[in-house]
Amino acid sequence: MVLSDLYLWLSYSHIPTRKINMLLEKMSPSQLWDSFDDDEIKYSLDDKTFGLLKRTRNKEYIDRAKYYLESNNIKYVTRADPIYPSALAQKEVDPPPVLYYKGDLSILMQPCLAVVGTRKASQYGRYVTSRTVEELASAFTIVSGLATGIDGYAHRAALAAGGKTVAVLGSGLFHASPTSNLALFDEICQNGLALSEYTPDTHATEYTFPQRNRIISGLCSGVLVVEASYKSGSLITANCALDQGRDVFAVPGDIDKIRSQGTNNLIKHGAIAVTCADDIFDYYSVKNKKEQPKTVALDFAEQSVLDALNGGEKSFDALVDVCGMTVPELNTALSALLIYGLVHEKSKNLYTVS
Amino acid sequence: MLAKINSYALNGLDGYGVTVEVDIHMGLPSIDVVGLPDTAIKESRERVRSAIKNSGYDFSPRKITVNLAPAHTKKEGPIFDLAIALGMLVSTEQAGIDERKTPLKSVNDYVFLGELSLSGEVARVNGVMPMLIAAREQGVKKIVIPKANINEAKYIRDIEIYAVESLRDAVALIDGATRTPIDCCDVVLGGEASGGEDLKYVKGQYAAKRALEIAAAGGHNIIMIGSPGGGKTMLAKCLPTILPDMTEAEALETTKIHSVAGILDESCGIVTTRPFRSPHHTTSRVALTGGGPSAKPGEISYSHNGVLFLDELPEYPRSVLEILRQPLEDGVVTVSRAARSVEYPANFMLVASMNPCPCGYYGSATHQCTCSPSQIQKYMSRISGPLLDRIDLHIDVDEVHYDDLTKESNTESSADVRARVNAARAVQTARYAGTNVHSNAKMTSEMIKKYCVLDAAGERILQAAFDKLGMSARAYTRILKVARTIADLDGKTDITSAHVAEAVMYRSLDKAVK
Ligand SMILES: Nc1ncnc2c1ncn2[C@@H]1O[C@H](COP(=O)(O)OP(=O)(O)OP(=O)(O)O)[C@@H](O)[C@H]1O
Ligand SMILES: [Mg+2]
Ligand SMILES: [Zn+2]
Repeated sequence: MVLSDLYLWLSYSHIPTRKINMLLEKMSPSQLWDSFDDDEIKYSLDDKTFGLLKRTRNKEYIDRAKYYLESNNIKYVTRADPIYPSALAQKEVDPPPVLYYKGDLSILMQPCLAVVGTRKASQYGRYVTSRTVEELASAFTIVSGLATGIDGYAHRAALAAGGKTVAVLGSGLFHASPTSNLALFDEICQNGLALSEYTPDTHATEYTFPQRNRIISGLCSGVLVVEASYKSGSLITANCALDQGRDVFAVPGDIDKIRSQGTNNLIKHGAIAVTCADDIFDYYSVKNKKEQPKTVALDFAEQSVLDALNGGEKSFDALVDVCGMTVPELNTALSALLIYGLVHEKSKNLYTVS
Repeated sequence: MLAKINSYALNGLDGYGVTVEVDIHMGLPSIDVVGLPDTAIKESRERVRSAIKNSGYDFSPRKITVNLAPAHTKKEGPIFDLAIALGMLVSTEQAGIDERKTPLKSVNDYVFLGELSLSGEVARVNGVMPMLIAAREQGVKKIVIPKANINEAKYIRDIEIYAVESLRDAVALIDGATRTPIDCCDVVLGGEASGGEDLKYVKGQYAAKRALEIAAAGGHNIIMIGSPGGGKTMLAKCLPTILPDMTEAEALETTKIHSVAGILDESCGIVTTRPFRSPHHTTSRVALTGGGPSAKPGEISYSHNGVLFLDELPEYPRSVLEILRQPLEDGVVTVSRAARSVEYPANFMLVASMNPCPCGYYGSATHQCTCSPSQIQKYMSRISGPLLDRIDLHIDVDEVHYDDLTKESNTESSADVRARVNAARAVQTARYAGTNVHSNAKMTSEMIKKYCVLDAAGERILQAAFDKLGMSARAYTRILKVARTIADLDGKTDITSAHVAEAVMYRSLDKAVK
């Protein structure tokens, strides 16, 4: 048996990765396969693990699995392969024996940055994610978890900017979720990379999502948390990052919003506060390759709205009062500024300069 | 002797002549009504019997057969009472004869409509207005209606209308007494709708008020999205006070429906201000869309040429929302009854409100939303894409700050806004004269091509909006129509880039859904 097939055996046994890695500390995969019938091994394993390994310890079974993967266009990389992401091969990451993927694995060679956050993003979180990721994607591969909210915005912004993005799933590749992001998933498979440590037919459970977070952080040099409440899953990713010695970045938020409590707390405990993409570029001494937007000529009304907003965010009603324009005039000016990207709607009916 | 009396019936809003034939023959006393009558008509035997007796005529027991011709259409309601009673009197030679007991030909010059009370009075009936119009078109010269219906009848010219109070009155008329037809009068349109609230009491909400003005001016469908207490219902209630005046044709169309449905204001007799209907979401489907055994119109037809306000849109049963698609597209609703279907006009402006999520606070600046993403998605998906496709203006209505609520500011009153709306609508009426389109919202694709031409700057800004704001293609024609209305409000013949830019502001759902 070649080594990669042995890793495939371990993966298909469906034993938790943590247990596999504990076993591998004591012996190599080939030792495990060859001397499986020895009593010594039998007594060193618990019954369940032993049963799972025994059931799948079958060359034919593994060949069938390989055939199945190939015929379903699922690629895989095992720890025996040289292209296995080196960032994951670290004890703290608890590297999975096999990664199943669709798309282009080589984009992991670029510096990677994870961008994660709450599934219930506010308009602020959405905007910050899109704006920052659009710039970051020029130098980093953006890694995230395909969830609704911040994850989805991060993937989309990376794709829109012509950058690379990686989705790490909490299920097998055949069961990507949520349904609302399936079109995105397909696009990522085409133009980026979707990967999972679970065999393709595995369904997600409440344990698989926290587990995969360690892979998100493991793949990257740093994790950027955009919006998170106290209990958000993205804080697990941040914790994994700390355990793995990765950098943790967080976007500060309104201190009164539940959605900002997690991120603000991270900053309090030493995470690097990020208010623009350049903070991260500077931290890694990488150059921001995105060209600055061209300046546009503004007419008088547009300029006065912009001036008013430069003095702080304002609601539509407040702008009417401050700028002294009629409602149609303001609508026109504001719409143009939104289209030029000079102003954005921070939350419903609250406008601010970009 | 066989008597024939003319009457009239409705199928939907279309009228057709009915001949009431009454024959008396030998046999056991009985009264039979044939010719597909409904129960109300069968009951008219009892009413007619009492009315004849109590009016002082003879009603000795005889075998009587009443036939309503044409016999193949289903007939309903008490509207034939008067004709049947007259038929009986003529066939028993108590009316409509000269001294030599030969029948008067003049009897057949008239068409009779009316319900009888037991005492012999002629009572009000529904649907008089559409019947008068249909009868006039079919060449009827003289028609007799209950006096109680005089208010709606007086607007119909070129047909002699006689109003009677009692069976005796009607008999006198056919016996040749000289009566003058009722006086016609002109339709006086306009005037403020009753019941609406004035916009000046709404603090702040400039963007929403402007959107309502545009919606009213162009007849655009509009949806307001926002958290509870944000003022959506309040804003919608102001709408009646800024709707444009009706044209005479519109007023008559709407009155026809209200007349058939029996919801016409008796004292006024005509609908002169645009209807504003707000059926609750627990209202039955039949009440909303029309139907039932007699295929009556429903709320969505009552709001013809006016506003249909659906507060808390996602609460309405999905089946009802799906039915709205046809009227939103074609301006008519098809109501099916047992054997065939009837079409009623339903050319309304849809005004809807909804919360952004089940708890109501998604995206709110002041409250925390407690819904999960899948709950929010499920909530939004209760409103199908095809329905949203037909809504031109989307606006976010968010709570006004306490400071602004208490601030004394001089806001515009509804009357000011209405003046602008009326001016913009007049431009549209002139532009679409001779077509059956009344407002920008109902423009056909051909008209869009002709009247919504963008200059280069306008094209550019629209293109940029699509790229930058991620708008969907379906927004395109909606934006053009709204831009047309904004230009009309601005008094400009050409749509400029400023108009387009403003129109783009009203597509918040497009930007959110993506
Ligand atoms: N801009 C405003 N100016 C004056 N009064 C306001 C304004 N906004 C809200 N109010 C007050 O708040 C009350 C609640 O508003 P309304 O019922 O219209 O909210 P809503 O958006 O329909 O809420 P829901 O989603 O719960 O139906 C109104 O009756 C009104 O008295
Ligand atoms: Mg309400
Ligand atoms: Zn909610």
